[in-house]
Amino acid sequence: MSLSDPAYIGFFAVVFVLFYLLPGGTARLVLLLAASLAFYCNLAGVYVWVLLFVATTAYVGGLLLQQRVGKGSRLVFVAALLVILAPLILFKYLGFLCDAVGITLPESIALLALPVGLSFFTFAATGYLIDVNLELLEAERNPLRLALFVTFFPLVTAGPIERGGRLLPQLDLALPLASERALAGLQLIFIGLVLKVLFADTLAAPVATVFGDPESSPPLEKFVAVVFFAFDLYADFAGYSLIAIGCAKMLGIEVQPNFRQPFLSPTIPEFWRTWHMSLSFWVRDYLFLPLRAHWRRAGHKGMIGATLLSFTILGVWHGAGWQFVFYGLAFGVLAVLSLYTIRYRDRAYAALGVPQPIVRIIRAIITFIVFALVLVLFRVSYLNDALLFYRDILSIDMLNNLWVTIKSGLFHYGEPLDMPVVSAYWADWFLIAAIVAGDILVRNGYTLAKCPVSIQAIAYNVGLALIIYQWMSSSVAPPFLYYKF
Amino acid sequence: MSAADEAASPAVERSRLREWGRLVGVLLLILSPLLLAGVVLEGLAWHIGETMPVSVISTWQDGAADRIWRGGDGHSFLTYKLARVADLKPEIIALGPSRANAFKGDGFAPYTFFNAGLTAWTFDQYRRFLELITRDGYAPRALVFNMDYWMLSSGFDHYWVDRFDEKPATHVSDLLRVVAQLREDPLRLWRNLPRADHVHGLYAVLTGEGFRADGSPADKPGTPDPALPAGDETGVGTPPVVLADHIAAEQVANFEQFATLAKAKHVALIGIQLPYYEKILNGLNGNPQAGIWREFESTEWHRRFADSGVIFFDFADMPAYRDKPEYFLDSLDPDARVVSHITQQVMADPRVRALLPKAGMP
Amino acid sequence: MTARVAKVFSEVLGVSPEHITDETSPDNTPQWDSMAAMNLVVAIEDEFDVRLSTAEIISMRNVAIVKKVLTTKGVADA
Repeated sequence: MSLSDPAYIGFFAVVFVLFYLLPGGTARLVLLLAASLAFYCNLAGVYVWVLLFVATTAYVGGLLLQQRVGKGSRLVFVAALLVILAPLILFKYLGFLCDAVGITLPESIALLALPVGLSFFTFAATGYLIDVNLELLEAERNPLRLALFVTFFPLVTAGPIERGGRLLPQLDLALPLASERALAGLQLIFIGLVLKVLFADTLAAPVATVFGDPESSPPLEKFVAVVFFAFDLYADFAGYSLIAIGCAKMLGIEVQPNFRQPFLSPTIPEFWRTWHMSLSFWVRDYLFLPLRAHWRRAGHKGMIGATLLSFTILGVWHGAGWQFVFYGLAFGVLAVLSLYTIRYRDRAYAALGVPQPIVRIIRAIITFIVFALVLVLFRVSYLNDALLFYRDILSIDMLNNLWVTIKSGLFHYGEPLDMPVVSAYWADWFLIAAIVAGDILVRNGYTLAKCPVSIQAIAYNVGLALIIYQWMSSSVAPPFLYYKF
Repeated sequence: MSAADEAASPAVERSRLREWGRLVGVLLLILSPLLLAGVVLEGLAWHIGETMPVSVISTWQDGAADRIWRGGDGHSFLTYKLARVADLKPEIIALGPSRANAFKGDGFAPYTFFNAGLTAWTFDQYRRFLELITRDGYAPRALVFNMDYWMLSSGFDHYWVDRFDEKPATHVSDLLRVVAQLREDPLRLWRNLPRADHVHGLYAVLTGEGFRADGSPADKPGTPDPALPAGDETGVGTPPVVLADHIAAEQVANFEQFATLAKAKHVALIGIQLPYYEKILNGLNGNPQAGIWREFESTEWHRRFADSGVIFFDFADMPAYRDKPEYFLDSLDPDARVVSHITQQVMADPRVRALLPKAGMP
Repeated sequence: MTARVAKVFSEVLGVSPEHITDETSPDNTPQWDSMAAMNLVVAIEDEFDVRLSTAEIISMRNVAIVKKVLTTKGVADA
């Protein structure tokens, strides 16, 4: 069950009540651990052994490293890393790597499915090992606490990827029920559900149409699908993260945020400090910084190399395939370009006399379009389709489409649009506008929690009604058309 | 104090309860509009009978003679009719598609009767229906069913698979139907709400049409369209009026299994091919692609039906009615007068009299 | 040492020394980006005449940790 299913909400309600009925400490630890393992079993069946394997490796590895620190622990560290990364490499990358080199895998291995959340919990566990090795963290002696850190059910499927140093100290689990905190958590869960169940699922429909058959879509439709997909992914992922963070908060555990209004970012590097923050900060702290440090006397070459390599790995983390390599590499190149040209661009805007707020807006729009275009690589079924998208969107036809649409929309003039997706989903632009407006408000401190209670109440009642209606509709088969016979 | 003592102290306990109280209280207060709306919706849906389980509907319908029900999305009325049969335990049941709708209890008096029309279309569905109603030891004395030539065509059962649904409707789907009506046309529901005291089921409340207590349809009164029998969408070649060269062996097997089960349960089988309007008859007679029709109409096959234990009546071509549109609702459905006439003839037949001797007696 | 660290940070990051506290880190200081980070390391190595290991560099996630590392490397707390 995904975090946005009614079944999960019911499951969480039960865990929440039991949690606060139990005395703090070990009893709650056992409850959460049992709930996490049951949750994962329900989701991935027999693959729970992979989860347990990673948790065990982290626990044992951490203790070993702690013992041997300073006494040549390098071998132990490398060995522990290899073991903990082995399932990720096996389940996710082996097929791709072998294809790339020309080896064919036996079918039994090639057909292995990817255990849910493997990339997420592996990185969380790996980060823990690295922190212990760097002596930034004491190894966790309590196996239950470490197991919960790796398997914690709100985070296990899709993060945020937490750090041992932030999560483990909170696993005393001794806090009594605080209605304020529980309500704050519920607020987050509510917003997450609105984003995921109402916004994301609605925006997904036109995306599938166009990406499923790119050949037959005119350029403007492709562009619309690209923009919609970026917002769909944002609503989906940010919503999911909020539900996870809200659940943890209700249990008294603070988890780092994963998104900070990314589409308001003025540059690509800044974008990656606000999008999927738990992953990008992980890559920054455990990959980029070590590389950078190693090459610090190599000047620009060192900087560029570290950036490109880190971003490529970030791309490949998302999936095993050449499109993900290009996805990461593209962002790496763009980040480097951005860093090295920002000064000149600043000067250009200043020379043109463009006021700062306008510069910010222009930059945010450009950054968004760049991100959305690179994101195409993430979504297409075939690499060639991505080229179709780029060729079309950056073509004269695109301008023509735009002109026809403006004519038809604003002046009711000209032939009817032959762009079914554009026409049918024009209302969804309001959803996108709502997301952007919401982000601007939140960025400036106007969160839902700060609104007057009456406004909040309306939002909760209407929002929940729509969410429940959506849940009900998706659980039944489509309606039957009456026959007379 | 140890952690355990601390946890158990009365002050801590009070503050724990206070926090729980506050949490639940705030949620209930803030969400009271939604909860209220939910209660109202459930109340409304129950009041019009859309969320009532069929067993409750059946008991309700026994309460007075004028009570009508029709709910659900219309794809299958099986669970409803099964519930009625379980309650009434009738001696005679009419079974079939819409063509069985016109059978009325008067023709079968003094035997108790239930019309299970618009419920089953194929022989394997007939067999399954019989299995389901005889599960608990009850069995009707006789099953009067539509036996049309097309039921023996190859693959015929595939057309009607989703119309014979043993799964009860879910509460969620029933509620969603009411919500959909409130979204599309709440005033229509509001105007027809007074009907809900003797009519249950969203469709029936909105239209006044539905099933009576005896299973027969209570349609809106009004003159049938005289152009319909000749001009309706049904035609030779359009299902169910399929064309085929031969009777299909697999359907004959289904038929035989049905007959065998009936024999085992001591249920008399009376199969009737009700009249077709002349548009259909003309399209079948003499049609080189209608081999199955010729076979079905042959004496050889009629004897095979009889050998299987079915008392078969072939009223497909009734000269008195075949070309008179006023006796047909459409090209496949003869009206109540025709069916009543046929019922008289059937009940007077010596083979039937032998099984149902009380027929015709006051 | 605190003053010297603050001076290095302020020169590299272009931030006034009063704003450099123990909690200053890349997460709360936009000027401490990836470019600046390595410039900081090189500047610290040059200012205090030490050689930092990769592990030490990665661990320096805020000013407090920078000062701790320098102390372990024998830099006087003057």
